[in-house]
This record gives sequence, C-alpha cells and structure tokens, in this order.
Amino acid sequence: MSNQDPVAMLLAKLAASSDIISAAYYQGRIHKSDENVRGIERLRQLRLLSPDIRDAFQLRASFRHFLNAALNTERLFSMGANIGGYFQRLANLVEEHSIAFQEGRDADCERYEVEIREAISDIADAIDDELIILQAQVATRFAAVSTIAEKKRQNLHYQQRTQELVNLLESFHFSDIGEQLEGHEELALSFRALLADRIPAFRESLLSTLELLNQYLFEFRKIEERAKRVRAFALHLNRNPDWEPKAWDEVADPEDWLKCASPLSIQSSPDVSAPEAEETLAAIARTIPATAGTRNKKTRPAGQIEDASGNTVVEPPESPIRRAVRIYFKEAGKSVQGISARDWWASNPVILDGIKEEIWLLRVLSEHDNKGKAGKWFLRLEAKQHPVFDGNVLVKDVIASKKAA
Amino acid sequence: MFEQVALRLLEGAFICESSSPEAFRWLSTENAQEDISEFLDKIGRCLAKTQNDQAYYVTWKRIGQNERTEVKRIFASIKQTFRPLIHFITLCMEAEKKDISPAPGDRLEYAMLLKAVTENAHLLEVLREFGMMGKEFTVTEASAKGMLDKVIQQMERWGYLVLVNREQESYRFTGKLDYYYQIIDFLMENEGITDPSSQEQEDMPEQRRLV
Repeated sequence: MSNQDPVAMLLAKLAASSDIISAAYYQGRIHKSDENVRGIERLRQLRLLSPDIRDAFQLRASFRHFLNAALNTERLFSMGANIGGYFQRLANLVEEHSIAFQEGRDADCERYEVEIREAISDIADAIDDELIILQAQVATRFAAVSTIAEKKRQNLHYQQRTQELVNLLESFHFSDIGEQLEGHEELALSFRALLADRIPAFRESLLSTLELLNQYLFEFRKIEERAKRVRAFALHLNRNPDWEPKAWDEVADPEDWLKCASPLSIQSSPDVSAPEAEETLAAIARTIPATAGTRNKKTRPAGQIEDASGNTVVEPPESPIRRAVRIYFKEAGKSVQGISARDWWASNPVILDGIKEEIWLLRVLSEHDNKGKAGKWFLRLEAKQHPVFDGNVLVKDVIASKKAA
Repeated sequence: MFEQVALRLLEGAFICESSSPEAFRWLSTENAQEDISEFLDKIGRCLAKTQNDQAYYVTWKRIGQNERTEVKRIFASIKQTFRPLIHFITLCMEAEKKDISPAPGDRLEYAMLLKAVTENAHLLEVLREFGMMGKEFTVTEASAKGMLDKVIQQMERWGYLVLVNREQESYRFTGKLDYYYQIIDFLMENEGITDPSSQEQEDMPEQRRLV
C-alpha cells in the first residue's frame, strides 16, 4: 500500500496522536496545553475532536462510538446503533439500484451495488454488536450500577431496546428486499449469506435475551421486595425488643419449617476390605501431607520369659522403730507382769536409735490398734481424765503383758 | 449419590447449591426426589424444600406427641436465632452499601466486612450489639476482628454461611437463608408486622396537604 493511501495516512495520524485520543477517551475531555496543542489541532482538522467547555476538547461522538464498540466498553443506557435507519437505507439503496438498472445506468448501478454490500454488512455488524452488548449486560446483571432501582431502570431500558430490535427483524423478514435482489447474483448472495440466513439466529438470541431480561425484572422486583421485608422485620425487632412470636408450635398443623425432623446421628465407616473402596481410600491417603515430624515407630522384638531367671529377691532392711516395736511386743508377750513401754524405751536406747519418747508411745499404740486382736499380748493404759476436755484421757504410760490363756 | 444424600438429609442437613452442589443438582431431578421421598416415607419423614426451591430438608410426616416435643424445640431454636441473624444480614447490607438483602449463593468477603467494621464506627457498634444477643456471641477479646470472627463462626455453625475459599476467607450464603426468609415472611404476614416504608409512602400525600 502506498503512502498516498488515505486510510493508511489517517491511521498514521491517529497513531501519532494516540496519547491525546486515549486521554480524551478515558477522561472524557482533554485540556489544551503547550505540549499537546499541535496534536489537538491535527485531530480537530480530521474532525475527531469537538470543542468542549473551558478550553477543553472531547472525542467526536462517531469516533467515541467506534472506540466503545471496539473496546466493548460498558455504557449506561447504551444507545446502540440505529439499526432501523440502516434497514431503511438498505431498502432505499435497493430501490434506487432497481431504478438505475431499469434505466440502464450501469455506472450508477455499480455504485449502488457497492453501497448495498456495505449496507448489508452494516446491518449484520450492528446486530452482532448489539447482541454482544446485551449479552454482556445480562451476564453481569447490570454490575455497573449498584442499587436495585438503578438495575431495574437499566433492565427496562435494554428490555425495550431488545423488543424493538426483535420487532424490526420480524418486519424485515416480511420485506421484499430479497426478491428485488434476486436478479443480481452477487448482491443476492451477499444478502442471503450475510443477513437473511442469519436473521433467525439473531432473532433467537434476542428472544432468549429478552426472556432473561423479563426474568431479571421479575427477580429484581422480588429482591427489592425481600430487602424491604428484611428491613421492616429488623426495624420491628429494634422497636420491640421484647417481642416474641405467638406460639406457632402449638397449632394443630404446624408449618413445614417447624416440622424439621430431628437429626439422626449416623456414623458410617468404610469397609477397607471392599475392593471398590480402594480408590477412594488411596485418594484420601494421598491428601495426607508428608510431614518431617512423622517417624516410624520401631517396636522392640518380643522377648521370652525364662522359667529360672536366677534373680534373687531383695528385701528392704527393717526400719529401727519397726524392729524395736517387734522386739518390745515379743518380750511383753512373754511377761506376765507386763513391760512398761516408757521403761523399755529408756532401757533400750541402742535399739531405738534416737527415736523420741512420744513417737515411740504413739507407734506402740498404733501397733496394738492394727494387730492387737491377733497379737499375743494384752495392753493396759495408765491414763487419767483430762481436767478440761471431757472425753479425753491423758496417757502416761502403756504396759503390755502376756495375754491370758 | 442416593446414599450420600439420604444420610445427609437424615443428619438434619439443608442441601443446597452452596453447601453441596452435586447433591443439590442430583436432588433437583424428579427421579431423585421420588426415590428419596419413597425412602423417607417408610421412616415417617418427608422431603421438603424452601419457598424458592433453594434448599431441601426433611420434615416429619405426621405430628404426634413425640414429634410435638421436637417442633417445640425447633421453634425455641428459631426464636433464639432470628434476632442475631437479621442483625447479621443488616450488617452485611450496610457494609456492602447495598439495598439488596443477601440471597443464597451470594459471596461474602471476610476482608471487606472486617474493613467496613473497622473503619465505620456505626458498623462497629452494630457488631458490638451481638454481645447482647446470647452467650454464643460473647468474646474474650472485644476487638473488631475478635467479635466479627465470633459472629461469622456462629453463622457458619448455624448453617447460614459456608466457607468456600480458606485462603481468601471467602464465604457463601447457603440455601438455609431461604428457609429463614420463609419464616420472616410467615411471621410478618401472620403477626401483623407491616413495612413502615410503604406506610410512610401512603401517608405522604396527606402530610403534604397538611404542610
């Protein structure tokens, strides 16, 4: 393509001012400055920028629409293409082509044929673009707006637009453009391939979108209603902190939501021997992470009990007081007169090995309490009543003697 | 799938798209519903669904003396639940700045909720009010995070939220929420609870005339 090609020249100029175009598109306007003044003037000359207020410029509508369509930018209450106008233009062109053909104006016919082919493409592209926009809006449930009221208005707008398009396609279906083009093979082929054959598919897509939009409107109304009810109920609870519902559990036939069956505690365990469980168990095993802390537990091999171990039983040595008590009661068990525990304590300091007298006496009494019934001795207390604490006695000595036969 | 679904239903679960998508889709087929209903019928139970078909659960077939006790227990539990739950729903709506009440399947981002309650004193107060609604919401650490964690944990335990992404701390409202909305609808219709906003709208022409 030579440098003189106007499309290439235009695109080169656009590329040179791409930063200005981008800023004007995303910011909505661009202010003139010393840096961008030349670029702005160049774009104005190409009729791509229009003056805005306060020394600013904005993209021309046709160019902005082109960018919107190319970038699939979501616009609120998007206007869409004037498809009705495109249809009317096509009908006019076909009419004029027919007249030129009848009058034998070949050059005009050729020009009209080019225009008709473009008009057919315009319509097909416009419907395609329209469907993309509608499907994007429907898929996101009008995500660009947040409140339910806005969503409802957006929904209504697109619903109306879709319905208009459906009506337009239906009326086009009954027009005679196809018949008028039948004598011109190339045009008839373009018309059928690009438009007529695609109309049923376009119509189906639009109708399903319309159905979704109708459904959404219904849902939005329900959502709105539910939000209102939630707020009303919350307000009611706030205003009436002591409010309790009536005894709905006592009515003869309670509501379904009250009849929830009590949960059963069901425990199931896998049959590890079943072959069909193997895959599932293996999958579970694979999910268990291998941790460094896990160690194989090593067990000591089982030992054997030997009949003759050869071990000797080691008995602990007898304590001095136990030995003293044993000797005292042995001697006392042989004495008819009896042996005073205090006297015995005084006369056997070696055996008693420094044990205090009161401890010794308590130990003698304790031994008698534990083994006195089975022992061979009789115990007598030398005691008197306590002067102050009734029921208590003061033990002065303990005398053990041989038990009478 | 039959065994899995039947067991879950008998355990008292609400089967919905958020908590068990496969089971829910299976149970949404006519054949599956017939099979499950036939089985439940033999053990004195029925398959029920919430008003907008968002969840399936099991109800008693007949209400006798024993079942009556259970009905009373359910009602007591509902009475204990509805204040904190409506409080939580309102908190979510205010935090997300939406005029739409959450629906089953809606996502709830923990990070968003925590940011909202941390930055907004009013929402923090709303969160604090949970402490007055029962010992389930009592916390040992009264920080925004501590309180919010407790609330989320309780909602999860009651079956209204399900964790869908542990890393992102993202939750989803379950179909049981539809069950709760059903209860609200019933109580509003049968207890004479009206929507004050519609009442105010009705009053407005008269007020304007007087002004």
